[in-house]
Amino acid sequence: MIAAPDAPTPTVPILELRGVDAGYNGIGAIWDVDLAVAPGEIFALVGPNGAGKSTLISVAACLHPATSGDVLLGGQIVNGTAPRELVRRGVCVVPEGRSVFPNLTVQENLLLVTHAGVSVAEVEALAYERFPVLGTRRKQLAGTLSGGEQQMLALARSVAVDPAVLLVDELSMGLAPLVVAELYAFIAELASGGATVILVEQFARTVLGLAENAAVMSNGRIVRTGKPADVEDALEAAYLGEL
Amino acid sequence: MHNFLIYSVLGLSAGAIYAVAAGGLVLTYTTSGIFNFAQGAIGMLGAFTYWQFTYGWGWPAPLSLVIVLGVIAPLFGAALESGILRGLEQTTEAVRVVVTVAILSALVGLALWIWPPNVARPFPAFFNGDKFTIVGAAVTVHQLISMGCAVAVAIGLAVLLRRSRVGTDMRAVVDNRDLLVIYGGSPDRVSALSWALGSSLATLSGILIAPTLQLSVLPLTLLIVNAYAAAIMGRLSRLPATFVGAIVLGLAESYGVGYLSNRGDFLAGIRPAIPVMILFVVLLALPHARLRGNVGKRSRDWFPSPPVRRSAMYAAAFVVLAFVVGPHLSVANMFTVNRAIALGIVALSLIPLVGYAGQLTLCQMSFAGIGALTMAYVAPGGSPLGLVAAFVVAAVVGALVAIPALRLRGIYLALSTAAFTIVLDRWIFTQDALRIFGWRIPLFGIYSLQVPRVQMPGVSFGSDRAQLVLLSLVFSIVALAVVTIRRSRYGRVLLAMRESPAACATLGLRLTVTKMSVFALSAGIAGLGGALYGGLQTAVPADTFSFFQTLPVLLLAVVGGIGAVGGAVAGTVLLGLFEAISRIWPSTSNLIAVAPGLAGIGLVRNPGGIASDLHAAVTQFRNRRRVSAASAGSAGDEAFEVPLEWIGIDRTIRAADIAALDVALGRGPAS
Repeated sequence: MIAAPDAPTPTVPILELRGVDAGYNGIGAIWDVDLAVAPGEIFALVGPNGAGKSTLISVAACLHPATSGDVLLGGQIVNGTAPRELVRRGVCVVPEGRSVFPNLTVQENLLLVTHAGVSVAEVEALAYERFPVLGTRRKQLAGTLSGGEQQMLALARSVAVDPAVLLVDELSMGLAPLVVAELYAFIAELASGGATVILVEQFARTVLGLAENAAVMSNGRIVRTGKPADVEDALEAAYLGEL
Repeated sequence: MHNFLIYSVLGLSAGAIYAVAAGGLVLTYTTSGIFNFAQGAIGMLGAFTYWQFTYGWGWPAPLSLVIVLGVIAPLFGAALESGILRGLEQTTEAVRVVVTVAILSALVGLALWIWPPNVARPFPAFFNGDKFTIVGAAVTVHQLISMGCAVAVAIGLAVLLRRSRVGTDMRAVVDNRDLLVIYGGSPDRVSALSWALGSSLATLSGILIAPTLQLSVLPLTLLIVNAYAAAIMGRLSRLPATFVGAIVLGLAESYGVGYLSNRGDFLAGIRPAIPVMILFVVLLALPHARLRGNVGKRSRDWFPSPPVRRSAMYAAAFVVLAFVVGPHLSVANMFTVNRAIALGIVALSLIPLVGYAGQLTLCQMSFAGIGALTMAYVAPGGSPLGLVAAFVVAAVVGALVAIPALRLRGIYLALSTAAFTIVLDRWIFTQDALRIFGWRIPLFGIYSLQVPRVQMPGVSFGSDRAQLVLLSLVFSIVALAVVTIRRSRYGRVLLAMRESPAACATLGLRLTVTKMSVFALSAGIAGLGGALYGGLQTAVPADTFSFFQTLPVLLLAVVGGIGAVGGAVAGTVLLGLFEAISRIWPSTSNLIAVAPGLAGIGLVRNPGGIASDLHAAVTQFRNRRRVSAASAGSAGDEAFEVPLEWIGIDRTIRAADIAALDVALGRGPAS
């Protein structure tokens, strides 16, 4: 557990989970999860396949209900809030896989970002500025973009929301290393601009190099939190099934 | 030339109305993935409601138009979506189609109830049919309004879907409903909105077409077939092609009527069949459906594998029961029971096809009709060989109908079977006789056809009681056969094909042969049932085997539980009960007419049907007894169903596996 109430952190965590349990159809998936993410930091959530990382993300974004415990956004309890409300407040989830609408054009995908309460002109301007390649493909169906371009389109959502809490699940999945590097560069840039980023990765090395804090999950529990260097041994143990 | 102009104007205005209806159909399909078979019924109900306001209660037409199109229809559509269709997630396409067909059936029943058909309801065209002349052809204001509406709808829908965020939301919902939530949209609201709009468009088309067709329930409901054909031309997604298709259809129909109806021969009655034949041709021209694997979602349907010996005992008990109970039934009750069992055989025919193989069909009563015709033609004296011939002929026709099915899936298939059945019952069956190569095969004609009852050397099945024994015997044999199929390799192939055609193809199974054979088998059984049903009734009018007669059989079979023979039994019992109730208490007959539809709508809650509920209750009861007996090993090797949503498996698994799984999950040994 990091950022316990008495820890010397002056700021209120932007996103906090307190004793969260969650599951599917009565079968538990995560238990007693405590997590606090400070504003503006990059936080890595790592662990082996099936550890409960994606469930945690869903619960944190109120996409999936917690069976017990609280989810706090900027110090306010938000459990049970409609996801659309959280989107308005800057929470931006990029789920696993290609999270774009394949049969809509790039432009139409960006039009849907306006549900977050921003104007379409602003979204398009910011997205095309940051990812010029998207600008050249605005009339193209998102499903016909390359994997990297689709991921850019999915991430472009976050540029228009300020300050954003960005939750990214498996950003690197199925992408070429060069593309991954570019996407992570974007994430770092976003964080330096004040956004909070929570990165979930199965392949932990890349994100641990980028993150300021990290948590290791194994079998539905958080087994270690701390600076990336401090969680390495727990990570190894988790992957080898010792935790 | 003058005639040509007149026909063209008629065709264009009809096509315009089809275009409005088809636009609504495409809108709801692209935004909810549900093909609305009830679109025509909604339009019919809307037209009746408008009539009620304007002519029944004498409200000014503009006011009732605003109320019906702007308030009632959208609210109805939205209620339909949020109350019924939203629950259709995780169901097979068969259940989705059946639920909208159930809505159709319920709405037809409801309309006949509220507006009894024996009252004349004049429905004049707008502006009393005032007309003026353009280039030598008279055009009514009503026709102009129809065309104007079509143009407005075309432009409006294009702008909505391509230019607005709501429209983009509508398309996004189909792409990925969950992702739209993540983007901050509300898919539920979007779906309700698109159904509201679809319902308004259906109503508009109903009101526009009513003056031409007169205000009557079935023609207005079936009118939608024209819209289906147009929507299929746009492959259910392209609005421009849909609108062009609608116009082509309207023109083809108009020219067909104009130039063919004066002929004295077979083609004279072709009018109602024209759109359906176009639909059939378009379906044949559609590109081959891509083989798809399982979408990875567990369906909530139910496909048990009952032991043959137990089924045989039930079957034998049923025949004995029929033998014993027979003498104690009144004539009317006997007829009700016989009718239910005969239709039950047709319901059984649906189980291998719709249940096991997941191939939809809406033409089962047509096969039954072909069976009855064959019986009448081959064995006018009632030879049992007539039954064999009925099976064979219906099976051959079934295999032929299956040809489009080899390429199509889901709703396209359902539509092609609906097209087939409507061609038969609106054109072919009502003819006097079919002449092929000098043979004259009598058809039902406008009155009825004599179908013989089975006579065997020494045994006559002429009496009603003997019919009961014969029907229960045949029902039992067919039921046993269907159970045996479920347990055979062939049955497993059918289920596998339903689950994942792609996986079957990669395993080297021959999908073409399998689909053709299951269609033939099912059609054959239906033909057998039809031959017996015809014999039971003796004098059989053509509408005995119409599209609207297929619906209750299909609905009740699915409500009973299309995945299991027990389902057909439950469906048969319901069929008999409904008929008995409406006969004993005539005042309930309207309610009973709506009942199959309502029951079908209930599938949303439990797609496995009544049989699966009963089975679950029995299993629970048995397990409880087993636990109280405290004999640890008594679970034995009997197969039973366990929902395993969390690992995405939905298969019958053995008790030993469950025990192992429980141990692995740390839940201790299985109880």
